[in-house]
Amino acid sequence: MTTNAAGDRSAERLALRPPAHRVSPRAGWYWFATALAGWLVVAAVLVAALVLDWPVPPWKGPLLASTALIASVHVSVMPRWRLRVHRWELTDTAVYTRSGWWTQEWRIAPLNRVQTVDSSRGPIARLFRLTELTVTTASAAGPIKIEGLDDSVAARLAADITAAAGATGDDAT
Amino acid sequence: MTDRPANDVDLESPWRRLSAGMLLVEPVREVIRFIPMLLVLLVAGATGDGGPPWGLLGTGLVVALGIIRYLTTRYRITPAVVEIRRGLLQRRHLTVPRDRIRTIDVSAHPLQRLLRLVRVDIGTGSSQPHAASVRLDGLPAVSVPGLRAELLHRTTGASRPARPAVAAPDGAAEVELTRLRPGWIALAPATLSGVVTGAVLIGFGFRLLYRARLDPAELGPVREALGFLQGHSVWLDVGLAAATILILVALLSVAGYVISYWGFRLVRHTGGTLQVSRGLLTTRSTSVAERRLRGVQRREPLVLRWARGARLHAVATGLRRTGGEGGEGGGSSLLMPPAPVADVLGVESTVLGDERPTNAPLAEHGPAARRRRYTRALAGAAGFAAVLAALTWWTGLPAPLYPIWVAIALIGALLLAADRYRNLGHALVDRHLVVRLGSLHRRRTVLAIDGVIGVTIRQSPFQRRAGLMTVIATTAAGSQHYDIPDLPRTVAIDLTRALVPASRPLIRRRSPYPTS
Repeated sequence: MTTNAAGDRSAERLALRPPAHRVSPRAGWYWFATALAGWLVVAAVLVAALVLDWPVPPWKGPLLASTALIASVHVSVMPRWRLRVHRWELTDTAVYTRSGWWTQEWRIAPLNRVQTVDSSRGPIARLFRLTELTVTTASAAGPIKIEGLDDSVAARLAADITAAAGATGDDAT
Repeated sequence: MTDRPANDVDLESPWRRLSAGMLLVEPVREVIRFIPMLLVLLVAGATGDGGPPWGLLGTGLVVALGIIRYLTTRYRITPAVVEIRRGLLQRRHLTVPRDRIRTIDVSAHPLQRLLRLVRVDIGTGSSQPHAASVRLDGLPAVSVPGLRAELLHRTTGASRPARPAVAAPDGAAEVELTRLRPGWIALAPATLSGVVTGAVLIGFGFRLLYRARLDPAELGPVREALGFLQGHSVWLDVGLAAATILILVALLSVAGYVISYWGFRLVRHTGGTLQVSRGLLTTRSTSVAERRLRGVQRREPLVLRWARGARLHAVATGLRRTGGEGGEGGGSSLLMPPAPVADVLGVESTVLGDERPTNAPLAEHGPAARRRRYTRALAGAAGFAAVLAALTWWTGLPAPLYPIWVAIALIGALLLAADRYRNLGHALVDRHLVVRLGSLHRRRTVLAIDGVIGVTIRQSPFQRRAGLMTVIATTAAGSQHYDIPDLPRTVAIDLTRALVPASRPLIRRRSPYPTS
């Protein structure tokens, strides 16, 4: 199976199909809330800088304006974009996800290489009854994260992955 | 590495202590480490600083800790596990299943060598960067061949008793793949390792002078040199300074090379390990189980490449990731020090047991990837030009020089982009993935597909417009992931299919003709 330069455009075109399932629609609000929280921290720093009259940014007006612009675009665009991108699927042989917004990532982890399945709920995620699943392999670079899963879906998925992964042995270490 | 109670353990294996020689080695070593500080104190006068002698106190503390460590450490090796107990207040009991042991790293600094002691680091397959290290500092050197055979060569039937201290080195069971040739040392200046050493030395020197409250300009030789320089033209001065620095860097590089790699040998044991030994003062020898070897990486930094040299590293699980004293990070251990490419290629083929991955021609990534190399390099040059323009505007750098700098940056960017594209390539050969990338730090990785755990495909909006994808093969070995940047979409997915068979159901074919 050799791969040829620049792809044999005439022969065939390959594409990854999107994973089957979307994340919970509430995930959009979750991403909105986390982004907002992050920007509130930035805003607090800026306000503190203004109030305490730090000389660090010499051009206060433009700085505030551009920060506000970037923040509002990020907060309004990012969650919707992520909702369109984030998807997951458990096939017979692999865990398959798509994530990101600006830069997008497809991750494939064969089930026989899965080592652990962690589920975690942060304080903000709990507000929206969402769970994040992390599927780890023996590679430090390879954990697959599925954000914004409905709690019940996440519990079922974690059990399914664990059961499927337990079947086989070699983790390629 | 688990803390489970070992129930399948041979309870009769005795707990051992580290060698008592360490009681001598540790304090002496700490005192030697303290010598530079003593020097400063002597030069500056003991009363100069006034404060309490923190350095002395610290040394005393470290010595005490070392003695406590010796007194509280016990280890034993049973047919199933290696166990280490240590700690005075917080007791730790570390149990390593023997079948998890991937590498053994044996080192000895000069003091330990005098007393025939070694430090043994046992590497497991753990990818956790903070996993507790399994280290036995202070074993008798005679026990090493036996220990190595016992832990890595897996000649053991489970019933065979573990007796690490007595087994004899069977010399016939090893094949030497290569050893240091004196000619290689000529490549040392091309490694530029002397730059770092030089910077450290200069920094240390200035600190010494500062602590001693000396003005370098008042020292005799320095004053003479300055006086000499003032008598000549600027260009001569610049030339002289450059020549001095070059010679100094070259000398330091050679010294560094000799200290690190003297006595270098690469040996294959029939038991299934590769062993690298090296070092002039501190000797170090690393054994890697070949079953855990997932590939090799050839590194050719630009200057070394110009000198037709290269280094070779193993891509294996269980190697120390932070590099420690050896200084090689990235979780891969050295297989060949900087050496002529021809020698490196030979060793690479021998280690892989196959010369096809080494010599395979690589597929180019196509015109879109080439354009991307140029866009990125030129964007960098543009950024440089903008910053420089701003600096010229505000701080009044000499404006006439501006076009010259920008021209240099532009030419550099174009050369860099061309070289980066020329080097970029990949191939699938005989169940191995081969990737080459980079320019200033070119590296060519051969990775066994069996060692690939999963695949990540990444695409930025710019890549999407160009129809490119970056494929990232994740693995438990080496640097944990190896990237193949900017592949055309179809090639990327084809490669994914080859790397991870489980991805096949996720791939669909599209008609090459646009659907109407």
